[in-house]
Amino acid sequence: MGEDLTLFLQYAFNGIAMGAVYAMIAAGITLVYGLSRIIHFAVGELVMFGAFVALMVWEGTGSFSLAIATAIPVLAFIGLITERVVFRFTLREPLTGFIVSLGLILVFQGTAVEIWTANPKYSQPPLQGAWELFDITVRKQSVLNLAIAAVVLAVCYYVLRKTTAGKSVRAVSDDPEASALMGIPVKKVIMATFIVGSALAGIAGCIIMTIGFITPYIGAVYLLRGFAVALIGGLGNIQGAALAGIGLGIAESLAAGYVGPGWTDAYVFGTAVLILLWRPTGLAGGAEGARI
Amino acid sequence: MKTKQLLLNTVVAALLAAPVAGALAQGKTGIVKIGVNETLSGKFVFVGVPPTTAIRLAVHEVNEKGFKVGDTTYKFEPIILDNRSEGSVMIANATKLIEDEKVKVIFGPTLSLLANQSQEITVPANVINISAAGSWQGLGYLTDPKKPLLFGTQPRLDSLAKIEVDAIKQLGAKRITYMGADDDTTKGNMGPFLAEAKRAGIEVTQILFPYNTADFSSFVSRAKADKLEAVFLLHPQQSGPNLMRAMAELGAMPKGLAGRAIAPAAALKLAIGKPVPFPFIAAQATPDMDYPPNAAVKAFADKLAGTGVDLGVTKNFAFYTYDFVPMLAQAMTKAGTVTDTAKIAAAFQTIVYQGAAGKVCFDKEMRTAIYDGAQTIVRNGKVTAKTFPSTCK
Repeated sequence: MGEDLTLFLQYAFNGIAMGAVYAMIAAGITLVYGLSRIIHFAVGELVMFGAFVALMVWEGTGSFSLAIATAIPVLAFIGLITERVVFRFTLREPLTGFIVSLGLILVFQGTAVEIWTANPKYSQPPLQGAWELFDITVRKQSVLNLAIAAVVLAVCYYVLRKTTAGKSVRAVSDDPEASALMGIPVKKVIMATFIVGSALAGIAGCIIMTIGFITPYIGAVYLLRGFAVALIGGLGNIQGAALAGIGLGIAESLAAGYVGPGWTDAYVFGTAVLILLWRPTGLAGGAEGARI
Repeated sequence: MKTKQLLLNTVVAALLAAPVAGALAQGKTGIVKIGVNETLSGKFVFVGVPPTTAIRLAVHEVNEKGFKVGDTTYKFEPIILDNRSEGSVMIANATKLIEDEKVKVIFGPTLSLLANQSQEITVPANVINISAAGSWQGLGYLTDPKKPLLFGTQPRLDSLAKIEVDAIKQLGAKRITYMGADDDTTKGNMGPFLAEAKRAGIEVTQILFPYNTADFSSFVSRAKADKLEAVFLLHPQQSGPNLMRAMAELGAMPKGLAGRAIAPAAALKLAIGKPVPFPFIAAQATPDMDYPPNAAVKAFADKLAGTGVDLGVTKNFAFYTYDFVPMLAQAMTKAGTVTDTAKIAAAFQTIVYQGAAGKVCFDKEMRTAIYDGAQTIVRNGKVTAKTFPSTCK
């Protein structure tokens, strides 16, 4: 394989591994938006919380599986509480829900600083080292992260497409009033979506914990990328989120490699703006005609 | 009778005069407020906490005896405000310190981005502003005769660049990448490093990355493809372990990593759980508290540890303020004033102080500090330390 192609594939793989994380965050955003029409801006902080919970368990027990198994219910519980205590009262006014979520960012950040302090925390990942595959260096932890993301997104897709619960979610997403008339417990479905969306953020946090340092302020980074992915994929479209996540990850990595790295963010978000100007409902369609 | 009356009067007068004489002997006392405007929360909290903790410690120590200005013994009262790592809050704090608290001296912010804004307020207000911000040097503020009240507490970047390029030479690398977050701090520090590297015949490729970059895979892949031999990481320091792990796993830049003020613990254990498979050299403007080169540094490190404050990986930033508090007290004594900032600044520049960071003074050409620098070298899991002594006379 030529050096140029090898390098391109190396960047692409690096990007896919990161893009899978963005896809998971975007899936949570898109699920919540699809049902409640609330743009949940505190999702980055849920990712941060998931990362810290995972870090605590991972450092305390040395078990990454247990770290994930702990982060999921903890974040699901936070999702439940935020829905019951906050967002349930804003369902009729999604704009209010959006503003409330901005306030939640400060609440989550402040709480995290109190619990874990603001100093950056770093932990070695469970898998270290790399494989050489056709001249491409494949980091073991990246493969594990990719596998986790793929399984989680596949499960989400399966549940939404093939199960009764998933059909209820899609029905509520399409027409909440008609769904209610058909006997679907709309409020419970929305609550479940907040729980699942938060749990997805928690899993994303577990992966982020393995990638680099974490602080109570990392949420914004992942929120922006998660939203860009959700918008590019089409708000309310989970398959679009998965594809756009991978796409954004690759674009980011290629920009870091070939373009001035300092402009990575501008390059990536500039591309997102152009895509949205071209297709306002995202590449795979979304927004008003939710496609969950 | 007259003699008896005279004796009695003398005794009474002496008794009455005793407290007055005592008071005169004791002298007058006063308080000098000094402002601290630091990043004590928000995303740059790790920059502001160590210098602020050191100020508290130094003030406590100065206040044990106080300092004389004329016939008055003064103590410092620090007014510490958190700017939350935000420019708008920093400006509000600076205004409050100057307008409401009437301080004549402000320490911080250490962060270049905020320090650049701070001096826009302190300079017109004739308030002494003391900061370690590297950008003040890069932007020429510390040689600007119109800004005589700005003082830098980080040594000259060109002398620091010598320590850093010396580290690269020790790694034996001729083609390196200079990595840092794409911000004012990196841009303010880069020039002297590039000049020094050029003199040493080292070819440098710059890789600037977004501040919160977590995954360095692509940046390291690029450096590997360019066949770069080593890397110099300027900041953020917490990126050190991430970068080291990416280098180890991707097999890039085999001659190693040098970085400014990166904790050696990163190379010994933190990055991959064991010593990294390449040499690492922490080059820094200050002595290293983890590997103290002398009793003074060890004593300071112990005192800081005794505060119980979690200073994280940037604890050496505490050197940016600690010695400058007693130096300020000496400057006020020498100037004979606690309010005339021009006189205090002039005196401040002449003080030579034996402190925790070695012999501390200010550069003659630039209002920035000189003191001991250090390299901490990790090779095959073994640590050695090298001191670059202060040139103060």
